[in-house]
Amino acid sequence: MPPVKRKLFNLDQYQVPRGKVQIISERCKGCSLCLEYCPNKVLAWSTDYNFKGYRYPVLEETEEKYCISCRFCEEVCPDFAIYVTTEPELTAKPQSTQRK
Amino acid sequence: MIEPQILDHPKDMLLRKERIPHIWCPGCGLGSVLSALVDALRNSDLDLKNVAVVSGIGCTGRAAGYLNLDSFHTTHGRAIPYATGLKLANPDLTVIVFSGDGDLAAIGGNHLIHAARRNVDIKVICVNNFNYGMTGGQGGPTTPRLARTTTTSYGNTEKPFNLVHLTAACGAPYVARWTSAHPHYMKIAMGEMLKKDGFSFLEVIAPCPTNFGRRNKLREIKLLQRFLEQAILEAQPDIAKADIELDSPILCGKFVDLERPSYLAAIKETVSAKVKVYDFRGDGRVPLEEAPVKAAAAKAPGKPAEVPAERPIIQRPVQIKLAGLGGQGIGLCGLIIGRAAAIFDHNQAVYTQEYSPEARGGASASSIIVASGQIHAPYVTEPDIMVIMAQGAYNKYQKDVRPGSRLIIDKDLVRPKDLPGSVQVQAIPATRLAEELGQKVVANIVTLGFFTALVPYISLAAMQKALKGSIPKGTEELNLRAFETGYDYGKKMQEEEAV
Amino acid sequence: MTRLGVFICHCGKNIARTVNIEALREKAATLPHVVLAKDYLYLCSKPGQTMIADDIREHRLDKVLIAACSPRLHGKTFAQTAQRAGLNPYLLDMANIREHCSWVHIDGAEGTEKAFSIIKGGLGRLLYAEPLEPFQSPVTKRVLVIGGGVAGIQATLDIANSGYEVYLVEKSPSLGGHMAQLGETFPTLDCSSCILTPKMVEVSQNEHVHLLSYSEVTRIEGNIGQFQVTVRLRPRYVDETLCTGCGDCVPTCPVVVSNEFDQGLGARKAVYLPFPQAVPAVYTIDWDACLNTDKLIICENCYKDCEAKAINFLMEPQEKMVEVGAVVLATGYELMPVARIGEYGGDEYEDVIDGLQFERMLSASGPTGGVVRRPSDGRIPQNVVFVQCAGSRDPEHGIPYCSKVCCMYTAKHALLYKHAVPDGQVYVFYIDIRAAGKGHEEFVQKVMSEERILYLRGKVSKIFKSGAKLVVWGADTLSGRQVEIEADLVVLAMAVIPSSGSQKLARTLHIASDLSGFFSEAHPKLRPLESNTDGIFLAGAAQFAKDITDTVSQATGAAGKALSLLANDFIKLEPTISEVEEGICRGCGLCVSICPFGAVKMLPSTRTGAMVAGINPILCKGCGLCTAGCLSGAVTLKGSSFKQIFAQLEEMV
Repeated sequence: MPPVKRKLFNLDQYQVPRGKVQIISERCKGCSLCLEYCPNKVLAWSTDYNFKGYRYPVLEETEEKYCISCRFCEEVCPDFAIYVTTEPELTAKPQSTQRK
Repeated sequence: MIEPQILDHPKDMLLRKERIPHIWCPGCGLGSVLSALVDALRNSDLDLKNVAVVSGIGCTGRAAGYLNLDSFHTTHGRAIPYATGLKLANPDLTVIVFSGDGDLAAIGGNHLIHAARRNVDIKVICVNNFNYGMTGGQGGPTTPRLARTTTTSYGNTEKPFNLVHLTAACGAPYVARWTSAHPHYMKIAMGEMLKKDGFSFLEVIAPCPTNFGRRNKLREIKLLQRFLEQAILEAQPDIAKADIELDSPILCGKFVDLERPSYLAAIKETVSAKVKVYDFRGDGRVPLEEAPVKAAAAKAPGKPAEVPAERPIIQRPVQIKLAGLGGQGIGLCGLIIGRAAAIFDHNQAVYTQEYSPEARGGASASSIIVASGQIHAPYVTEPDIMVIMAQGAYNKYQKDVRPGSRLIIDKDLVRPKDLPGSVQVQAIPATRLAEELGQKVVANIVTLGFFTALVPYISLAAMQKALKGSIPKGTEELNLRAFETGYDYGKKMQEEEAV
Repeated sequence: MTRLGVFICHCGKNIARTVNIEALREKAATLPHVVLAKDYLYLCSKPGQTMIADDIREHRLDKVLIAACSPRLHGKTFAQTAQRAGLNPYLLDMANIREHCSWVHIDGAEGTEKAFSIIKGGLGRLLYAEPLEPFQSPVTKRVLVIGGGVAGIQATLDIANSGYEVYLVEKSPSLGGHMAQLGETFPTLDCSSCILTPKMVEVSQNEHVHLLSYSEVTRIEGNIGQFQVTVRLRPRYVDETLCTGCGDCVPTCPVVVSNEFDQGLGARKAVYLPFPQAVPAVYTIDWDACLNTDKLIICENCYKDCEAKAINFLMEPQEKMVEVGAVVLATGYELMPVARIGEYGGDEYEDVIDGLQFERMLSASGPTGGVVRRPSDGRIPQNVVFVQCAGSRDPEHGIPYCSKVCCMYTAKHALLYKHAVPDGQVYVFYIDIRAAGKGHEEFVQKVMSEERILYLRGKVSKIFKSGAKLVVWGADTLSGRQVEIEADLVVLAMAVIPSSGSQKLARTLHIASDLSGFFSEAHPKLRPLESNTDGIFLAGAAQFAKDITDTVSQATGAAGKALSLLANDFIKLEPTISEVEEGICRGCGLCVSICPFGAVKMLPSTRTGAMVAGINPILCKGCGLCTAGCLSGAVTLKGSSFKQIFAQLEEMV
């Protein structure tokens, strides 16, 4: 029988940062680095194209709460096309953001 | 520096927004490196007005145009010498070189190794994408073996440079390597470089998906993923194991971090013991109070010195050629004649020298033109006076002896043959007389004295003053005696001829 | 010509009753090389020994045979006598005519004849005896303590306060072990942390102590007095010298995982301090939980928030070599996993927990802040069942022994629960109550007399879920009835087993452990603090389950053992060890596997370079197994050479 996974009692004492991903779609060249390396995989390809003909990343509303503001997309983006604004309070309930 | 515009992206303050989006391809690693540099600059304590970025030619070279700093987009391979010049002219600057593997290691390779050797305080960020990207993807000095490029269709056969090993071997005190997918480590490395006094080298492995990636079957993001698979990050990586092959680990980390006096610091330390070295100000000028020599000149600018009474007037330029063996002091004689005429007789003089490649023993000649008016051309084409002190020299310059000119020779060493008509030959056993004086080497001064006695164009006083100022300390007595000997001989000969 | 002396002891009537001493003496005097044959009533007495010593000197005896009792009894005594008389003690031998002869014979003639045979054999052997010198081995004045629980901490303090250097190696990021997890301790209900943390702090501040936390011993070589130990320091990714313990790194860490310290009931971040009073007060990054890997750094949140710039993702494991004179093993215990008992749900039910989990709930700094709750819904349980002997005393589940502490801590748990929930109902299933320590019986009696704590004598046969309820089936043997209880929470007193790394450590240190995995003592009665390898001492639950009182006593005892070793600059070792004749050895290596002490290694011969056997004289105990087992006859046992043994046999046959 598999061991039971118990709920952790003191989760509300452990909150994680939340971020809002902002995308400057006109600068994006669709290189996919942000999509591939986001640890919680919150980004998806857009359905439409920007003026250069590239698809760009979008953050769906349902995915918003999973962004943990690690900012890797902002740091690695070669085109200065994406950045993260961190929510001022640590608001996310950890259980709901755990994707790993 | 251009005024900051309204921000869209947090890093926009250091970018020239009107040029964004940049021309780099989708997935090109250059943007990531530039992004890391922007952060490193923002996080440092540096005054950005004193930061200059220099780039070369290539895709990487365009970086200078995207940064909102004093930046310079220079010629292919010459970013480092340009940067060196910037730093020497204004040591207050922080000079960053941002260039690619082809620019820095191929055409610019020589500058790279010497700048590292000299430890010039410039921060070199070499973005290595393993080919010449901008020109279509040709193989370069860092292309791994067996990789395909437009010039290595069957696979590269050359062993590539291990750039970190190269720069470290040249003596660079800071050498590191990361990939463009490591913004965390790139920022740390750049921060360390900005603080370091000395030559710093950061190699960043970056993907070129359009050219290198495509031709090696690693399209788009696959090339970067491949680099990440190969990357081994270590705290103290071994530089001897840092070669990059297509299937080898890519060893990343900080390879070298030591302290070594930078180029300017070393100059200051060594030279300041012997010479007063003035600290540069930002504008390169030396404060008046500290420079007594210059102050004297500043106090009395442009005032002509006094002209002596008996100054020989030379109506038209007189061409004089001196020739002998290397080591006889022909050059010095010519110099003294020129100085005497120009400085002390306040006439004009032009002086050139000719040598053969031997350090000693070859033929040597010098040419002087003296005139009271302007001398229009510096070359002696038809010498009026020739002074020849060795047979070999006579043989060589015999063709220049003009009819009606004067020929002064060393009586024992030169036997003039086949002279054209009406050449006035005047000989002095200069070498023998010099030997009698005790030093064969002053034969040229003896000849000079002889010359002065016979030739009216330069005054005795001027020649004596010029001589005194042109010889090493401690030899004045001997040289003056030699001069007198020659002069007296010349004067005696003139009297005898008059009779 | 060798001058042999024979002394025959009457041993009162012990020998004289069955053996004709006078006849024996006369006969002995006629044997070759014997220049003196004497008898005495009690040779081991002071006058007896004086006589022997005097005779050795007076008669210029080269070698002496004492025909008396077993050398196991007085061998040392007579050796010292010889030494006092100026004779090499290995030139004095004993012929056992008591245990081997007079005590097993009734007939005098037979006994005397046999005794003579024994004496003859002894003399034959003695003829070939060679003088031997005991040798010395230096003692490094440094001790390694493995394990940072209360046993390790106590041993470390005792040794460090005596002025010697101690290396304390602990596997987890902090000292404290299980005692740091406890709420209150029996029987006094002292706050466990409050009595432990001062000691932890003392360890961290003592100038003689090198604390290597988050580290493990990977290799040990050498012998008593000179152990070369390799310790592997795991990377914390936090620089210990820079971290101020401020905790700024924690809020922005995005990863939340289960905290081992809370036994799976509480949370922590990937960058964490196991508990607030951790020593050293340095944060650790759990690399497996962190979003970063050795190849890629995705998240810099903690790095950016650390003002001391203590975070370094490039840290690598380090190896440290230490030389010590003694080792104290204090690796402690853990509880048998609930999963191993299928009858109790096999860890499938959230509300069936073990003693340590209940303890964390009781602890004021625990995940519930000291409130007992049901893990499934967080409500306070009203019916709690405690099951003692869950796994212990149960050969079926592989644990035949009694875990010693469970009766006591279950009583404590029951009492503390009642203090918190006065109207709650408690059932305790037991087989026996073992409360043998000081104040323990009184404590349990108090608990048993509490209202609404029901002690039921019987084993629990099954725990299962019926709908939403947890059902416990047990027996009440005193009333002879089956019992079925609906419980809100079940606490199992799981068996105490040695901690998980101890098997691997036993192999690394070449020490023995018993069938249950606890480290074996050199003698269960007389040498409970020493392992079978000289210089390695045992302390705490690693040797067997025990409570804190006994652990601390044993730790101080082990420290004392280590200190008595370190008090000498050299240890003296018996020279009666085995030796290899390199020229004869054929390099087969059989002796290496025969030696129970790991004293034999194959080494290149100094003369030929071929691999031959080499015996470490310090590890060798002179047991003779390699000597007997060597196929080439290349090994001799000093003090018992082949010549001596064959001579003895020939004389006796």
